[in-house]
Amino acid sequence: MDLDVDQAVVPDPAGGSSSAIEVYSCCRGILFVDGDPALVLHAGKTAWLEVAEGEHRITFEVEGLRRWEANVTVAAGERVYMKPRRRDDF
Amino acid sequence: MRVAVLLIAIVAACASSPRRDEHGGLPPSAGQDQHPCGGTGGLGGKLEVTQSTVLDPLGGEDGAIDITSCCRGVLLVDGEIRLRLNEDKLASLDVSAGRYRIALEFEGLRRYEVVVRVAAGERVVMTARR
Repeated sequence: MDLDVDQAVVPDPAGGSSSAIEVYSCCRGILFVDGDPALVLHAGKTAWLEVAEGEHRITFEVEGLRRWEANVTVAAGERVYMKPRRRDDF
Repeated sequence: MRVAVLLIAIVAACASSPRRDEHGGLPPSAGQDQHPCGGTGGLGGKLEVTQSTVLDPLGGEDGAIDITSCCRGVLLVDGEIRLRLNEDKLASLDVSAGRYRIALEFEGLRRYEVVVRVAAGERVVMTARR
């Protein structure tokens, strides 16, 4: 089964200039940033991570599902909200 | 003369066999696989395994071992098969904090062994590639 990831960009809720990736995950897994494990994902939980401004290689490894990879650009003062889900979930 | 040749042959054979630890097992390698395949078909392909640790804020007193693997195989913990591994998919195993001897066996690849320390609230993330 495949993994889909919905994405949206929102301003930093604190109004600052930091860049972050926020994940609400369907399932248990690991988020890799630029090849390194960076965030532990739990089903139905939100986790977030500050990252340097710029482009990053994002990889979701979720138990039992195929790997999902993409380049994601995070600008200063923005938070990229990502929601991995099973392809058959709505 | 024949006795001397025989002795030299015996010494050479002993020197070329892998050393074993006090339990009779092969010693862990520190990164690259260096051990002959242990009954997994063993065509001699190389397995590259990377390992790092990531904090799990919800991990509590336990830890976990996560592995993404290139191929189908098994993960053994202290000699017991604990996970079946599929191509390009994550497999996870909750464990108590402690030291474990991890072995990875894939068809056609050399066996890989390593000792990992899992701390409470941490996940050891391993990636196995050909």
